[in-house]
Amino acid sequence: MTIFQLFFFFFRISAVTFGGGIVILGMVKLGIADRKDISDAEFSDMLSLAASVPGPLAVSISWLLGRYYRGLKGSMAAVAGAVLPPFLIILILSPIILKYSGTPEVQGFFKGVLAGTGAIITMVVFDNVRSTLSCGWWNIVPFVIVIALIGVFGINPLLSMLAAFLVQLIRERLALR
Amino acid sequence: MKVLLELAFSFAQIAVGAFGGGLSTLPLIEYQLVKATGWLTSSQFGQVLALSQVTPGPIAINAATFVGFQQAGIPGSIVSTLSIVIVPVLILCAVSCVLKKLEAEKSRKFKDMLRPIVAGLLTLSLVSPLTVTVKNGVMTMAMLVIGILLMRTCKFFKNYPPLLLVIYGIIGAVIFS
Repeated sequence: MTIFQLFFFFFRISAVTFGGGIVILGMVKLGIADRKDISDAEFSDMLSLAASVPGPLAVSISWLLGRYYRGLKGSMAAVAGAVLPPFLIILILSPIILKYSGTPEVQGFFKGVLAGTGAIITMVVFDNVRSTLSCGWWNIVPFVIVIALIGVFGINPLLSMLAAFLVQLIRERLALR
Repeated sequence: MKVLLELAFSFAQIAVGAFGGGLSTLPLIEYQLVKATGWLTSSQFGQVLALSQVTPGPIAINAATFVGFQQAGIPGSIVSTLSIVIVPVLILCAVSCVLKKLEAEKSRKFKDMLRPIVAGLLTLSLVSPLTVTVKNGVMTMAMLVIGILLMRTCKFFKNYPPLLLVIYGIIGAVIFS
């Protein structure tokens, strides 16, 4: 892919993908499935690395794919393509929302959308938690630590995650011996 | 100038902890924007969450553009969005510098260790939309329950959640005005 193709490839996907995350990885995979210039193994290495680092998946996968095709310039073009659609849309909507956020129509719209969002998250949480906890009894320990530290004690999520990860590392060490 | 630095620093902290992509980032975003800085009230956070679900792109980027604009206009939204993009890119570069190739086994183990932590964050992401929806009254609570039932029974809504959200937004705008 050329630099322009990289930009428009991610621009197109990003403009029509709601919610980001896993969905965008599926769209990228679909988009490069027919290409001969990248193998399945190379792409799954990228997916694996993208999911192992923090930050929006749209950013990490576009950076990696851009670098694969065109080096640093490719990375920048791909990330710009991925970030510009959501950035421009929110930039256009922000002043409108801030101006009319007090009106009953806009408030009602957000109340309705948030109720639906609550329904979607409930579904996602239910499936995710069930499968996570069923793949080993130990998983409940870091799971509860994170919820207790952030949700009950109001500790900074970054520190809470670090604490839970340290517990995971200690467990890993002990299990090896 | 000071507020631009604060925006950059806040969104950098969100980016550093944004593992798992998407909804599991919500507790970090809420902590930074509601609790640590007071830039958003709880109900405004609900609005940002709702907005991110009916516009393209990852919630972290949507929140960055919106709150950046709210706090410091167009420069604010540019700085915040760049912060949420550049931090993951730097981490990606650092990781691929240290490890020439990410060993599949190590990457899998790391993700397995993160999994219950991400599940905990995901569970916490439910708190805000649920409490705001309950606070919004019986109508929105009913919409939430119906939404779960719709997605459980109807393949159409399960595959196109944004459509459900837009319909819900219109219903909300009508019944609350």
